[in-house]
Amino acid sequence: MSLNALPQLLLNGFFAGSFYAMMALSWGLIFSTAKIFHFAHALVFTVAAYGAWMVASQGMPIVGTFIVAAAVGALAGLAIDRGIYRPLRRRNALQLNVFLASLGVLLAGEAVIQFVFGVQARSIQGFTLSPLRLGRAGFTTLEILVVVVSWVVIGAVVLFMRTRQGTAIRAVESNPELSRAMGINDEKVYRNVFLVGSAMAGVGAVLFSLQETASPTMGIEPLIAAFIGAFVGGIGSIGGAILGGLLLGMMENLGGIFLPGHLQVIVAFLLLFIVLLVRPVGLFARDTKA
Amino acid sequence: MSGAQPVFEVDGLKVAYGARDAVFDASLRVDEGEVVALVGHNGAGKTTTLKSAFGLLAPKAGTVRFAGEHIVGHDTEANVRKGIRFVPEDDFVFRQLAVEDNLHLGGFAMGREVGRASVERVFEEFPVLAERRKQRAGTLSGGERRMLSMGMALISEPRMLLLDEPSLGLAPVLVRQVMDLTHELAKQRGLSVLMVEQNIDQAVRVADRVYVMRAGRIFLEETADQMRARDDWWDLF
Amino acid sequence: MNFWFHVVNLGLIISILGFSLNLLIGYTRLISLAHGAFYGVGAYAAAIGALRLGISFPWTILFSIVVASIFATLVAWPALRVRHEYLILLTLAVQFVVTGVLLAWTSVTGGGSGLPGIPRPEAFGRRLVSPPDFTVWLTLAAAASFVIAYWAGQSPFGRVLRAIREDETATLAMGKNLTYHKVAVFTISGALAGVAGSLFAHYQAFVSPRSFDLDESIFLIGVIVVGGAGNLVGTIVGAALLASIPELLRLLDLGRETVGVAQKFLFGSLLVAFMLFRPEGIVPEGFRFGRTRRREARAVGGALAPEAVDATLADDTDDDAAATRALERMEERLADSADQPQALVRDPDKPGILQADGITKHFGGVTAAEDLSLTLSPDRVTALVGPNGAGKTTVFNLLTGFIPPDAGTVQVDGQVLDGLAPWQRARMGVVRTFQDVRLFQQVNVIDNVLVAMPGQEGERLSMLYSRPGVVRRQERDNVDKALSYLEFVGLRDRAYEPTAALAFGEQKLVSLARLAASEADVMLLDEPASGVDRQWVRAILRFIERVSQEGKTICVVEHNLDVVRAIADHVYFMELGRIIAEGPPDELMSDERLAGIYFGGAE
Repeated sequence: MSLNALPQLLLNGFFAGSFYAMMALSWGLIFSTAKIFHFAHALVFTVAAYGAWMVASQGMPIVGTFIVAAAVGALAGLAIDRGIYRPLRRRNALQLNVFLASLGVLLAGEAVIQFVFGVQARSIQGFTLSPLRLGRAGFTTLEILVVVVSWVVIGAVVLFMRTRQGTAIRAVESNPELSRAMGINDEKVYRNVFLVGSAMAGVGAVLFSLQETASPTMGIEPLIAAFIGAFVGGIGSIGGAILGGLLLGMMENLGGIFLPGHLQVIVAFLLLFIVLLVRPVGLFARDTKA
Repeated sequence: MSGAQPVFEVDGLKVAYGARDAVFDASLRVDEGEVVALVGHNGAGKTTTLKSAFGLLAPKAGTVRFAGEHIVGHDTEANVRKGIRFVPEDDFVFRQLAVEDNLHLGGFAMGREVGRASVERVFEEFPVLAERRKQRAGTLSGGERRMLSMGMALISEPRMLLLDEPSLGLAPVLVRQVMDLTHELAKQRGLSVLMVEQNIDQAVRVADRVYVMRAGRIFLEETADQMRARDDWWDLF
Repeated sequence: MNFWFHVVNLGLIISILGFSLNLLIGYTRLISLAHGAFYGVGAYAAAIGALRLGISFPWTILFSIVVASIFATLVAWPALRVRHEYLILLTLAVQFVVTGVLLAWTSVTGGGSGLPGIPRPEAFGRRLVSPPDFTVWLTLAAAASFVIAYWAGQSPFGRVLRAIREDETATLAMGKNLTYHKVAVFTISGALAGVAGSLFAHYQAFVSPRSFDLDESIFLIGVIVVGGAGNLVGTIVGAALLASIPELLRLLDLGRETVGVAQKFLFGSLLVAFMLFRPEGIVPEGFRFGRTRRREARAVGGALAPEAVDATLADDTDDDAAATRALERMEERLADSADQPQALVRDPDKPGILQADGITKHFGGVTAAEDLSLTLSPDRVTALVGPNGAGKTTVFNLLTGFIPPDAGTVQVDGQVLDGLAPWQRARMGVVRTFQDVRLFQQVNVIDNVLVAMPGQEGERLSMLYSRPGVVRRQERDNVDKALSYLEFVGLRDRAYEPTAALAFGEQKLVSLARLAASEADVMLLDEPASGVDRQWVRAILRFIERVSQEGKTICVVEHNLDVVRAIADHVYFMELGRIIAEGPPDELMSDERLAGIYFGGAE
């Protein structure tokens, strides 16, 4: 591929990266605080997308659809934490077991969605897209919407992390033992983290379904982007997750310049692989405890 | 000390980590406005006693009473709200977070009533922290971090302080300062203090009474004067 | 009829994959989300070998084994460098990369449409075509795979894997090479996946990427979880169950789509239900069928049981009684030791003198050890004493190689230990205990002792399969020796109980038996008397005295000065990473300066 396509690829990378950044932040928040490898985040994403599809097909305007999706996502995430993870925490289960349970939830949940809604893909109505140009690069109003919504959500969460409840989340994330000594109730913090992270996934689900479609197994792809972004950026770092997601989007699109076509699909995993081996704490994580 | 009410009473405490017993039998009391030191060799079970009394570890047996009320089995949130604070021996501040945030977290369990005004009050008391309010706590010096940890406990205006080795890692002059502060809190503000200490010399200087622990049991209770009168303390360790 | 044979055949292939994955997850607790990929590499190796390279059956199987085990070994290297949650990611990445390559590299793999026309194998001049033709052969292959995996799992090699699963640090301290064992388990796991892959390719006569994707990996994990991690019989149960579910659902006349959904739902729910209510699986690790040669364990929690297991101590009097009993037995042994062979192995040519010179270690700006020199010798019990944070445990870490020093040298009987890993130092005769015992909790007591023994042929895969007789004979001898070490600490009758069921005092004694079993000459004991009540302390001190009399070199870090006064002949007094005084305990404790440092009076 020639360098002529560079502006277009950069732009595409930024579009995809913005979405990934939001997803990476949402998953990374849960992982770094609750220490759960939350595979079922993909299910939260899917459930929210179907919730959005249901109201959108009844004529709900797009803003309302986002709000409904966020609420459905938040509730789904909370239900998984309360129903599955909390009992496992109380039993002092291995982290590995929690992960396996999470896998199980995802599979069972996908099956339920497939049973209720069928396998066919659903697209969310309510947004009319028109093409735009910037120099040699082309894009659509939908892509503008993705970027704007992603960054508004990211901004809102960054601000939230500075509030009272947000500070408590950072406290539990960085030092759970001391948090308990301070009388911070960690179960409440987990609840908040699942609510916030899952609501973000809900918003992401609408963006995803507008670009593509909602289907029972739609969640796995954005989930993988989310945790690659989070790990590549650095667990426990908000900025890291955002940058990690952006980098992932860029790499996926720019990979085409350097790699033969059939290897493009694995760019994301190569990136993850290399980071895990060379700098396992993540590219943008703070190294020291200080 | 006649007439003083026991504020904090621990009776027959027994604590284990899984299969490993750490405390076999610990009973002690702290009166109002009293500084009590709990000393003994490393691994004797002092920290475990303290943590368990505060609700960080569930004991296998025993009772803990605060102001006459049973508090064993309560979570730390409830105990902080009742007026008990615990300061751990190390990692006692959130290093990644700003000094200001640390203080807010110190008051978090109290709800919104402990807010900005309380933080400012602590800053008045510890001016050195006020200068560094936006700095990450991890960048403070050891002494400043210690002061911050005290501020985080005092922000909720507690009645009872549980201090785990407040002298650890501090230069001698700072150890004196921390001990003096502890003494002042008890004698001028009426706080009751139970502190675990390795630095017997300094602990005995400010304490009223001392308990000595060895291998999971409290085996001696003396007044600080009696402790000071001993030739040496090797026999107690 | 063919249909049922087909179900059985699939169950057999899945069983082989299950054995392979169980060695990783159940025995070693190395999670792999790439097992579908291992399987796929094996299957495609056979397919490409047969279709493009002209390799004929049964050599295709061998070819698959070689390719898949090499592939697994290559994956093992990065896998060793990452922590647990990263291993999930890393193997996931491997899974996706393999699926991606299989889909995209059309010229070789046929892409999404796969490779059809893989020749059906011939056996005794007859071409195998229908499912029943295959059943006998697949049963034989599964049986052989079971034997290979079982032999690896139940051998000294498998014992080390379990030890790694329970506690890597302790395994390292007992002289085991973690890297070798982890790589080896990946290799053998890959080889078995290769067997399964090639059989599948020949059986279906067709391979496509869809059979080897993430769903397959997750399915295989489900087989392990449901069947029972750490138990190969459980794997057969799990494979039978999960392989038959979809086929049974098909009988219900639900329609194709519903069957798929129901299957997925059932599978996911099983995974959740097992994790919540029975993490040890249907057949837990400690479970044995029927009668066995020796008295066997009650069912232990198993590989995926929660970590903190509360001891079932009735009350103090019981605990005291147990301690007294152990002590009495030790004394009995002592009384008639005159007419018994020496309990401990002691090489008369090696004095067992450890000499450290100028050991220095800084962490950033913090001095952990500064110019430390000390001598440990068998004619005296040495103790390190000093205020909290003086660096006593750090000294142990420096001597045993857990922390590499910045400068200085350590030697034992003239052999220089510098630059050697902890497991190498343990083999050269320097071993240690840990404050919190770090026994391997989810295995039997005797396995804790056995694992520490040096020179076990059965720990190497090559010996395991080339000289099984030698391995078996040595193991029999070692079991006898291990029992005698347990007798030495008065706990022989607990040998076949799960370690987690022991009181902490008993666990401490087992850790001492484990130490003795290592045959090391220099023993570093980190707080031997901590965490147990008085009676146990007596038993532990008796042990130390006894081992010292038998010519072992002992050094303890101990904060309970009562204990130091009771056992130590020589004390090094430490402060802030330096040795500032040495001498007999009484002498040091009459030194006012040291009292000032210890109790904080000095300024």
